Amino acid sequence: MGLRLRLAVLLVVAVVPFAFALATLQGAFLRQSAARATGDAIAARLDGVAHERCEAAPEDWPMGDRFRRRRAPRRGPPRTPPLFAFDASLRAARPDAPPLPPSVRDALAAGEELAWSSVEHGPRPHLLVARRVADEGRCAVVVALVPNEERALWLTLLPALAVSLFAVLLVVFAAGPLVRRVRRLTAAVGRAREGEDVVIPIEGRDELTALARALAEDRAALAGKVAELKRRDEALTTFVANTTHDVMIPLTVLQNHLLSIRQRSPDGSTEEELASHALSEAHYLGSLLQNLSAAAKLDAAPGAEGMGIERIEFDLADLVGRVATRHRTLAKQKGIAIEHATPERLMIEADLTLVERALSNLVHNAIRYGEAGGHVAVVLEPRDDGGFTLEVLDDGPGVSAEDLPRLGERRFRSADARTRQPSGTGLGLAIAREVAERHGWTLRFEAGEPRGLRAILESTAPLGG
Amino acid sequence: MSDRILLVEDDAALGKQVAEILAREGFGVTWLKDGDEASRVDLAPFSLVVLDLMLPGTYGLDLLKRWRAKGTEVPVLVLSARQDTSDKVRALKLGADDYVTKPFYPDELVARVVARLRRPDIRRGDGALRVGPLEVDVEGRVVRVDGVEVPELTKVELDILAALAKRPGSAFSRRALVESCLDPGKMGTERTLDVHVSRLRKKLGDAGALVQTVWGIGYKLVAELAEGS
Repeated sequence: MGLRLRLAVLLVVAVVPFAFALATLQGAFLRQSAARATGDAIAARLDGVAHERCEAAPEDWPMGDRFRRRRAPRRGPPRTPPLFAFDASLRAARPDAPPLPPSVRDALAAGEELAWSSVEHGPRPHLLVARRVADEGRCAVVVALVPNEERALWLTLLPALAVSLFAVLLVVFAAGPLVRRVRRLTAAVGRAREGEDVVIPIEGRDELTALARALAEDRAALAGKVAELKRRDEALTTFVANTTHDVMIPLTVLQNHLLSIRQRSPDGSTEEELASHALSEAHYLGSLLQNLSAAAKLDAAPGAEGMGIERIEFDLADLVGRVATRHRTLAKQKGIAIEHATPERLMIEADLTLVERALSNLVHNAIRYGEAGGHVAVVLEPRDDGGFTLEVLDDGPGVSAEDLPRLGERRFRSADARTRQPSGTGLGLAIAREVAERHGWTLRFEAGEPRGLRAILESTAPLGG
Repeated sequence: MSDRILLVEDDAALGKQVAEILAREGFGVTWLKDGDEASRVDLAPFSLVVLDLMLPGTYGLDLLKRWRAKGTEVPVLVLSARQDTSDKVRALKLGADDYVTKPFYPDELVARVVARLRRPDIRRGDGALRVGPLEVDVEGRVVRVDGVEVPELTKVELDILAALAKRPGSAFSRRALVESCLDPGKMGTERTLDVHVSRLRKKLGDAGALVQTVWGIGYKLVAELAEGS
């Protein structure tokens, strides 16, 4: 219920019964005054001689009709209302006397001197007033019928109703600006919540103003904090991006230097071995940085399918070739042969950077844990349903059957780390799995035949869905 | 190869290495360290541009945009350390032809450069595929080793060799070869494929060693035998 409607209903509910009660009270008061006045007039009229005459012939008293008829043409109520005599036991002296209502009888019987009641007499309401003029005799009670001057109840109520209607209208009009301010305030706060840059309107000088001011201050404080956080976040992101960029150059240079040293040193020398190790570490460092960058990007978006990825159309076959080529140098110096097979083209719509990262991690993992004389194969094949299967297999030490399903869990490293090299945090495979999930693909690990690990990335939808 | 390559790289150490790597492969390399300088250079004599995106003076992408706005069509290979897909998309949209992410090994860079430069198909006009001493005439259904026809090749054997010769040096998975070369009606399996390949090798004689088994994948055809492998 709106504020204005509520106020209006409240007013009507409160004012109407009050006005009704007031009008009823007023009517009762008016009746009482009229009855007293009439009672007094009867008492005055039956002073002395009149009472004796009434006592003598109550059925003829008062002279009544003739007298009244002469006066009847006058406008307004007759100055002397018709009077009727009743004896001590409240029997009417004349047959045309009005019957006494029970309330009047009871009051008189209880010894009241004056009793009255509203009665129907002719077309207009009348007030029947009974006045005890003697304790006994044939003319003990005199009853007068006076037209009831009291207006009908609805007429009495009319001003009250008019006043309450006016009050309601007043409230509705007066509440209008207030309601509009509240609405404006609500709308402003709502827009602010949606992220719009809005100014909370501060109008007037009342409690609403205070509320608006409090909201505005709250929002300003919050906006300040958000801006601060955003600034820090941006600074951090830029810092990470710049650092990554800055580190990649010396890393590339370092790798190439190491490669030259390795190529120049005689086969089997200590230098060659050292350079190989350094090269492997440099490569690992680069991939770690890229993984951190990818993890930060994935963490920034909720972990559901389709979130945090930017799909573009590209040739997955080309990417497989690119990743395999990139790892060839590393594999060669470890004595591992890396080969890949792809169709000529396989277009998919996916996040190029993240897919490259995922595949690099799978390939890097295979090389890293491989042994001299070993193999790594990357095979991309289209599926009949329009999807693709991308397999990375190696003939390294592999992973035990119970650890297989857990590969790719964040921070999980197989207990077989004794057989596989202990370096690496499992971040690479975790990212590969996360990237697969975000794209709606599946990534599973199987034991190779006769040994080794087989990572299978699969998409069942055309264009990599 | 006498192709000239323009290298735009502000980092002295990296620039020197990239220039050396490309020179070692026989390319003529012009190295500019400054983006403003690069924006004024005439690109006509160059077959390819290697462009670092982070350049002082001019942001690499602006440079690329300016070149493409002038209508230059020289292939541009972008060196990027950015990990954002949007960055690569922007570079590709602005007319970059390829990218290499840092850190990279010389092999990868050279492979991308060579791939860009030899875009026209290597297939000769007569429809025959030549790989080392092998010549596979797909239409004439003839295979020659050093010009001498190999007799009694079956349809499947020729198909397998033709498939491999289409992309020499590239491995083909057994499944792909089974699907493209074996008769689906005859329950072609990967074992059957191996039998066909072994017969093919025998018929090719010395050249049979060029059809190599690739671990975990299938087969590939190489132009010559490397000493190590």
